[in-house]
Order: sequence, then structure tokens, then C-alpha cells
Amino acid sequence: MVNTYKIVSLGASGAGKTVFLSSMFKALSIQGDYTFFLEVEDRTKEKILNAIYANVVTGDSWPEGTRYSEVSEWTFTCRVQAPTLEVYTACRFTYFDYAGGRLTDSNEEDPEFDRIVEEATTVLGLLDGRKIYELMKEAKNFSVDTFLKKDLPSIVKRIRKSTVPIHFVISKWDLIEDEFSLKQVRERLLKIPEFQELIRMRNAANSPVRLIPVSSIGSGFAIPQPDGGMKKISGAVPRPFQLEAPLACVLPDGLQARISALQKKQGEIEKMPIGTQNVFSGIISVFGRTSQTVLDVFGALAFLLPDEYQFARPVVTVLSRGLSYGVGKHEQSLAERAEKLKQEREASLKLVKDEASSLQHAVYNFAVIENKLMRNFPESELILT
Amino acid sequence: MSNVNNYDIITLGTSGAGKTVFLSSLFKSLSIQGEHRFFLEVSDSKMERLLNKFYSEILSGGWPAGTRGDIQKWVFTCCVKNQNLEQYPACQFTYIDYAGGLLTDVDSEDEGYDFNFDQEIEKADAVLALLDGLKLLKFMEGKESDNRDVDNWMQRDIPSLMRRVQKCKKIPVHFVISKWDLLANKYTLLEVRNRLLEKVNEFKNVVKNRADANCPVRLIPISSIGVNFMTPQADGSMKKVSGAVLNPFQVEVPLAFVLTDSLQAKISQLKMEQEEISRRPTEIKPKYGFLNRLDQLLSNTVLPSYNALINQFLIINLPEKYKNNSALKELIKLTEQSVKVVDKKIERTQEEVARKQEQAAQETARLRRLQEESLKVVNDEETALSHVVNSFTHIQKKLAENFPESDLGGLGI
Repeated sequence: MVNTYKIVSLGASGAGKTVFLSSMFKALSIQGDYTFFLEVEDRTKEKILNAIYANVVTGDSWPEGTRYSEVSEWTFTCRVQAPTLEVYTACRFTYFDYAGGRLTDSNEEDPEFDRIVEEATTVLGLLDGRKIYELMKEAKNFSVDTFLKKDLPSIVKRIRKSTVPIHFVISKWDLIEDEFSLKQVRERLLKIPEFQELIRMRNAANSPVRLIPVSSIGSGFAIPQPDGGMKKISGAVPRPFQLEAPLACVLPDGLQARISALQKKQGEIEKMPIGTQNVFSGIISVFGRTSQTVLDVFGALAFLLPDEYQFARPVVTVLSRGLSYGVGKHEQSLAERAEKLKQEREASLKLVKDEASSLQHAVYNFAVIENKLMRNFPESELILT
Repeated sequence: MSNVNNYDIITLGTSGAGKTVFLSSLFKSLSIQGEHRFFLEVSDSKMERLLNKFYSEILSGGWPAGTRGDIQKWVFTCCVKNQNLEQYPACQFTYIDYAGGLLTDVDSEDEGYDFNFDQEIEKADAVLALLDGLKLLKFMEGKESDNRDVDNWMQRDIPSLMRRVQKCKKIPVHFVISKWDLLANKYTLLEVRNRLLEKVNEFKNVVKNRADANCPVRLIPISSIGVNFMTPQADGSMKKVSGAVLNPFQVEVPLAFVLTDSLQAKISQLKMEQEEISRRPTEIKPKYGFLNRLDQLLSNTVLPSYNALINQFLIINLPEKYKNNSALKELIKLTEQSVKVVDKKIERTQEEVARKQEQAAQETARLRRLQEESLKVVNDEETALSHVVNSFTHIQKKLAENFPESDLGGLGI
């Protein structure tokens, strides 16, 4: 049985949620630098994503009213091609696209949505890079206003109650990167009170939040024009940038958040007066008492985790190495880890022969990607000091 | 129809890449045994007429309309002629044709006929991935005005094609550049290959994965019409050169590359069968039941001597005084009678033995005939296949000589 990880994607209309998925699919649909690939479960949806990405590059707009606007669920199968060319399924990722209009225009409570978020492994909050660029330029215009008053607050409002890990993805990074660093963008975003408050709450729950810059076309493909359009550089080939990072962080962050929740529960139980504890709490306190590291907690309490986190021990070992959330991630240790991970990943590809071994191999890839993100953008991990 | 092996070949190509034109040109080029020591036959006469119609359209400077609607399966028989000029089927292959739009178009008119590529690829014996030469030309030229077409080709068509190729397991898969006539005088295959590997990540990765798995991968340029038959016009259309003749270029080469491995495997299998048939015993020994065997034993040994014994001792050698003894006479009479019974039995048993031996001899002869016949069938099939394989090997060698860079397994990846 293959595990499915659910991701709720949030973003204002036009923030490019589907464009993000189409670019991610473009970047990961053929096994190459990363030794896994994604397949779209539905052929028609695959063709839609394929065509949307081509439109991003050609600059054509997608015709209004076509079927893709109705798609609210995209399932990607993560697969590994062994050196024998046999293909094995590692896991699935399902993205629930939360309609942009519904997100920003409604103030009502939405228990159905809250339930979906609660079940999700991570939330993907898509931030429009063009609006952020204008915000950084301190432009006083409609789009900056919309971003500050509508787009960002509505995402924050929807997820502040939960403890699900969040990946804030900044699209169109190619527009920003020449003028601003991620550190600068992060500092600016943290000046927004709702945003800062959300990060503080997630930090307290030890649930990961990341700020991940991506670009569908990469740098050096097109030059932005004053009118908002893009002029392509002749002969340039688009190189999707870092689109694999949010996907790769789903599993490590999801596991981290679940383990943190267990640790929290354990702490609460230990403080409970005797007599109010029940059988369940007894189990947690007995098995988890001395648990500190992710691996320890997992070893002791894995049976309390949902099915999709019931990993074989080698998988947890790989995941847990990157999970010392917020501690000791210095460049030197990251560099050493990168080298080690690459060697282990290569060795594990040769062992791929079924679903379990292909999941383990995919996890090595996720760890390689997460490690690379941490090296290139240490400030992408949102931890308030 | 003979029971020769069939091989399914899928040609992956987007709309307009030239799948159907390639098919009709392939058939036309190979429908008569000439330079190559085999020829193609279409199993269905209606299909043959259709292929000829396509070809006439090309001859008159037009193109057959794009394939629409249902998936078509064209069954070709690869035949050889023996020295007595008898036609002999060596193998059969099925060319699976479909509307290229099904590969990429979301709102394809042919949506109702959606072709399950993954399932078909799973079943296929070989895959040819067709790269549209016209799009490739624009890609090579890199003209500003062609940007949109090239972008669509690189970002939509190629990824879609490569995702399907990625699914192919260890079956022969080769890349075919159609419309090579457009590129032939402008670019070398090496330039095209290098540019593709440099700029089209999906292509590079898929080729690398297959090469790493020790699967041969080739980039094969073909032209269904040949050089100088048509010239491209400023508006993008093609115009027939007056008086020019069709001269298909290398259309047979992809076939030679995708089928040889399977055919060689079949030949090895036939060789094993030959050995097996030759080893099979053909001499049949007569079979007798237990009582038969006992009778036979007695009739051959004990009984005749017993008979002789009676004659010799009881009758001939009896002392005279006993010859009038009635009781003894009676005994002798009885003995004589039983000897007659025994004689009859011996006769019958010997007849039986003779009959069984005759049957066995007949059966042996029948089996020998059968062995000879099946050996002939296998030998003929092997001969026919070897014929085709020799031709294919020759075609392969020629490509390797003319376009050494067509081998993608080597340098540059």
C-alpha cells in the first residue's frame, strides 16, 4: 500500500497555484539530477499541466472557461526508475487547490476546510512574487495593498488555528533575486503583524515553517518590461528554479510536526495529576518518557502516528538527520551532510526493487533537496529568535 | 495467414510529426524485394489501397490528412522469396497509428478515442520516438519569429514524448528525426544531436537513463520524400519541385534497429527447437502387454522345444511295447491335441508380434517424416528470418558508417 500525503494549496486568485504545479511537474517529470520522477495520475490533467507550462513560456494565456479552472485536486505519483529501467512507486502527493476567490472573499467559518487542513501533511501558501517585488520597492499601489490587506491575511487567517507545517512559496523569484535577498524579503514579511504572529505560534509548537523562493522559468530567460510583460532572451532555455524544494520538504516537515505534537502531548501528560490520566496517556508517558530525538520518539511512539508515517526504520533515520529543527545547521555540517547523502542516495538506487525500497530512495532525494535548500537559503527556515 | 511471430511497434509523435507519411513511405519503399532481401505485404487489401492513396497524395505534392479518430493497427508481413521464387513469410509487425494530438492536446477532437499510451507501451515490442524535423529545423535556426513554435515544441511536445519514452522498459527504443530533407543541407546530425543534448534536458535525461542501463539508443534521420522533392516556401508550406521524383531516405533504418533484436532472439529459439527436434527419438519399439510378452517368450523359446520334445521322445522314441497301450495312446492323443492348441497359439502370437512390429515400423516412418517436415519448417523459418536479419544488419552497418554520431550511447552525454 502506497502512502498518500496531502497538501492544501492556498493562494489568492492569480497567485499562480496551477502554474506552480505545472512548473513543478515540468521540473520533476523526467528522472534526471534527482533520481525520482512525478507522474500525474490522470492523463487529461497531465495534458493540462503540460500545456499550462508551455503557455507560461510562450506567454500565451490559457483560454477562459476551460476545464482546468474546475480542477481542485491534483495527484502526483512519486516513482523511481531503477537502473534496470523498471519503475516502482514510492508514494503519492495530492494537492488540494483551495479556490482563490473563496479564500479571499469570504470571512465565514469553514469547518469543512479546517478539517482538510487538519488532515494535511503540509500547507502550501503561494505568494505572488511580483507583488512581493513591488512591496520590496515600497511601491504604493493597488497590488501591494491587495497583498498586505487581502492575500496574505486571508492565508494566515485560514491556517492559524492548526499546527500543520507551512511552506510559503514565493513565485517569480527571477524578478526579485537581482535586487533583493531572501533575508531582506523575510525581514520585510516579518514586519507584517499577522505573519509574525503565525510564525511565532508555529515555532512554539515546533512545527516547521519555510519561506521558499521558486521560479517557473529561472533567471536569464526573460527580462521584465516596464509594462509588466516579459521579453524573452533569444536562444535562452527556461530552467525551473527550486520547484522541487516544497515537495521535498513535505515528508520531513510533516513527520517533524507529528513528532512534535506527540512530544507535546507527552509533556502535558507528565504534568497531569495522577488519576486524570487514561490508558492512552499512560502508554505515551511510559514509552516516550526518555525520548528526545526524532528517532527516539519515533522508535517509542511510531504506533501512535497515522498510517502514512509508518515508515521503516531506515527511512526515519534518513529523515531524522535533517530534522533537528532549527539546531546546528551550519554550513560546514550541511556541506558534509550533502556529500554523505549523495553517496548514500547513489547506493540506495541500486537497491530499488519494490515500493518500500523506492520510498527509501525517494526520501534520500528529499533529504538531498532539503539540504541544498538549507545551504543556499539558510533564512528559508522561519524561526524567530 | 501463417503463424509467424508478430511484433508491435508504436511510433510516438505529436500531431504533424509525420507518422502516417513515414508509414506509407516505408511500405512503398519496401513493398518490392529489391536492394533489401525482403519485402512487406499488408494483410488487408483495403489498408493497402489506403496506403497507396496516401502515397499518391504525397507524389502529387500534397500530404495525407492527419490521422483522426480511432487507433489504427497496420499489420505488415515481412516476406522473403526463396530460390524457387516461392514467397515465404518471415515475421509480422503491427504499426500502431493514432492521432498525434492525443499525446498533447487537452481538448482534442479525438478525446473520445483516448489512446492509453502507457498500456500500449507496456505491451509494445519496440518504440520509435519521432522528432518533427520541421520543428527541429526552427529549433536549430533559433529565429526570433519562430520562438513560439519552438517553445511549444520544447516545452509541450518534447516533455510529453519523453515522459512516454521514460516508461519503456528494456525494449528497443530509438529516436527518429522526420523530414531530414529540410535539415540535410544545413546541419550535420552531430550538430543537431549536440544541440538537443545541450538544450533539451528531458531528451538528455531519457537518453542517459537508457544508455546507463545498457540499452542502445540511436538518433536516426529519415526523409519520407527524400531530398529535393519539395522546397519549403516563405509561408511555411512546401512546394513540389517540378519533375522531381520521390526518393525516400533511410525509412527502412528504424525498422532494422527496432526489430533485429527480437528477430535474433527468435532465431536462437528456432535453433534450439531444431536441436530439440533432431534429438527427439523417432524409432518406435513394438509394445506388448504382460500376457503378450509371456506368450511371446513362450512361443519363441519354451513352446517350440516342448513340441519337439513330444515328437522326439513321446512318440518316436517310445519303446514298442508301449505303443499299444491304450491308456498311453489316449495320453499321446491328448498331448498331440494340446500341442496343436499350443501350435495355434504360437502362430497367433507370432502373427501378433509381426503385426505390432509392422505397426511400430510404420509409426517410426511416420515420425521420421514428421521430424523431417518440422525440421524443414523450422529451417525455412530460420532461413527466412536470417535473411531478414542479414538485411537489417547490413542496413544498420550502413547507418553506423554514414552517421556514426547517430549512436547516442557514446560521448556527449
